[in-house]
Amino acid sequence: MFFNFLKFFLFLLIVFVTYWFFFPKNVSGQNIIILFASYVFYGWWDWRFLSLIIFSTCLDFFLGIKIHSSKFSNKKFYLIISIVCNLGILGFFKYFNFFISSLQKSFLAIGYTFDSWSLSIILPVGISFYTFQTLSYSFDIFNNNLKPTKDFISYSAFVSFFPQLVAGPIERAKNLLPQFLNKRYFHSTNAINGCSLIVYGLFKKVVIADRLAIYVNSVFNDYYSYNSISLTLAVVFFAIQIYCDFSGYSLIARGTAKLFGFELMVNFNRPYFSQSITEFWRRWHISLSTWFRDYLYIPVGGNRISKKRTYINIMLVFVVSGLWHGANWTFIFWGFIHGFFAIVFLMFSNNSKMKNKNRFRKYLNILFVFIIVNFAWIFFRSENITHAFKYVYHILQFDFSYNLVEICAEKGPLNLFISLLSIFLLYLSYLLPKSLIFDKPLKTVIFNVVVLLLILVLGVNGEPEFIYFQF
Amino acid sequence: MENQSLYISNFKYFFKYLFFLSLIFFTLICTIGLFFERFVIFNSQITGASKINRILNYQYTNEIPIFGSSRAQGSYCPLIIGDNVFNYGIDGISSNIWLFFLEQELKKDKKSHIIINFDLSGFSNYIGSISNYIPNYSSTKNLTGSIKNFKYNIPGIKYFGYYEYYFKSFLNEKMNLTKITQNGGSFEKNTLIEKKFNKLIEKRYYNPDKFVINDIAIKKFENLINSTSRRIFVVIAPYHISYLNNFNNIEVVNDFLNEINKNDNLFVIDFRNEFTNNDLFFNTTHLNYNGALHFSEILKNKIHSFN
Repeated sequence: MFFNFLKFFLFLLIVFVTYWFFFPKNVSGQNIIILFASYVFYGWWDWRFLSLIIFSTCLDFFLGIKIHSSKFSNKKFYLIISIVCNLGILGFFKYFNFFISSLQKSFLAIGYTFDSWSLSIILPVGISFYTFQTLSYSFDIFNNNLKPTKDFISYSAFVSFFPQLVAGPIERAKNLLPQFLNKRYFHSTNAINGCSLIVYGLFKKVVIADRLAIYVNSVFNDYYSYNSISLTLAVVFFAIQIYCDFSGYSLIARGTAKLFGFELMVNFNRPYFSQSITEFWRRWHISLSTWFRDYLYIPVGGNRISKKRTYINIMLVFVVSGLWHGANWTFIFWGFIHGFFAIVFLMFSNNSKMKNKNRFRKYLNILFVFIIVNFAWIFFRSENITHAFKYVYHILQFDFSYNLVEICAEKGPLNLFISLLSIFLLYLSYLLPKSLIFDKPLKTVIFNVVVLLLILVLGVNGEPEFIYFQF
Repeated sequence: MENQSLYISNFKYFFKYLFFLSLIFFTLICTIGLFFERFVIFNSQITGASKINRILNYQYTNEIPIFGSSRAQGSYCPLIIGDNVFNYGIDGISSNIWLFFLEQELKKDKKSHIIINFDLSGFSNYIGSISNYIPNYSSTKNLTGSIKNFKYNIPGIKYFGYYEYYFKSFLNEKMNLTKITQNGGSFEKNTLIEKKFNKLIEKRYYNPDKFVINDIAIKKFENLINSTSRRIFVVIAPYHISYLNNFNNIEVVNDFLNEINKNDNLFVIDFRNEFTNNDLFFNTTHLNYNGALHFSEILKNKIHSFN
């Protein structure tokens, strides 16, 4: 079941009414409703994969208690069980075929051949997200940052909480679990704010991301037929498409959670205004980057060791982050590019004593980061590495010949105009207060009405899926 | 007790807010929808929606209609073919829809000729975009097959995802930016670069077409021909040679055309091989504006020769 389906809103209405009107003061009852709704939500896509969530939930619930109550050596043992099981499941469903085909290609390169075989494995939606969420629970207990809960229903609801189950934000137990354990109250201001976030998220998805996808898909599917103008424009459009698609989803998740009295973390903070790659990652997919920071970068030493090891650690985190996105060399290379430039930026900032007070320099940095991020997106969007390099090669032909059909990617000038208009609307939306909390109720009404009208008039009745569902 | 009343007042406020928001939103979207329908959709002659509206709700006694798919829409220049000619061609449709147009036309008390652009692919069931049917959804929902949705009955909301399409057609007609339009006809102003055109020719070799026989549709067509004394010209507009060379059952088409040509009031005019110059085509099945001008001129002369 997906977020911009009418079905979802009907589902939301039923859950909302049941949650607040049948169990207004009963936390356990509310948690059971959330759990049931989450399983229905997930099972709507494929009920068979519910078993994976349930298994992962049970495993980490019991291991959490064991880790907490054991002595150090046993603690480690239970943590390793948690890591091996969770990553084992993730690895099997996400990386098995990739591993086999890569192995086969490697052997072929040195002259050996072996019969290739692969399993037709369906990638369970959201597996990367909930696996990381349950893992963080075990890590936090191991590090004595959290006490395990003995309330199985609350824990299960925390793992499978439907607004953020399939594409995050990857919540930490420390933030979300207590909200499941404590009493929740309905506040109209929060609920209204939740509605605004949902509407704005839908706007980002339906008006901006889906619009830009028309141009992007047309160019990327036939890149050899386009000149440098169209190819460059398609990359820039993809950068904004993926941002609006994913941040739109996160906003809808946050808004939906607010309707039930929960606060989810902010996952994006205007990432394309970053002045360095490291800043970009503090603003992009914040829940994932902080996860890697806390559970991978810091445990391997972070920046408290030699410079050389710090650089290696940075590269490790980015390459693993690339791999997290999917079983394809394109994602690994995407991570590598980010890692490489993060190191370059770090070296540069270490040597420079100057603070960026100069406005021109600030804009130049933003532009520079934007170009690097866009370059990396080519690899992220391409089907394979060869495709990506050919795409770059075609851009570097510097063919700026004018042909209206080509510049419009055969989708007409109106589509190009609306694409540019949607980007301008995104920029305008940045002038709104952060978190969309308005000082007067009338302003909230005007905001919601205007955005809903824009969705209906400019929205694309296209693919209901979000890009990050595949990860 | 105080908590309870606070709880209820919170909900009351929230639902009041939602009600107020919905009321404003629906009032505005319905108004926008109605204005859009009146001043954009039906104010443009080239959209399928306005053509369906025209055939259903208007009677122009001397009008000569041209029915067919996008090949009809992009190949027949009404102003060249004659006075009172209107092009009802709609992109993406096939015989099921032009038969509906023919049926509606024959219900009218008229004596003018009828021109049907006949595609060699025969009698298939393509309806084109659903946007053609939304404004007159209640009268056309039987044509839309499995694409049925309650939302198409709700003013304003029913056009979600299609505002751009209608607006694009409206702009094309008013400004002739990328297309040249006249009396329902819409002609490709741009030409493809040679590289692209050659790619289309290459694709055609791997995707040969064939004549599709649909007995029910053929029977309906025959009944409609026999039910009128009006002259019906069944015209085959030019195809690119690569299309004809990769056609699977051309002899079946010829047999069918010979058969219907036996009707007294029906005349088959076959121009399929007429053009050999690539410059007159937009792709392997559609003419560009230049091609349409040439074709309309020779069609006009041909029709005159029948008089």
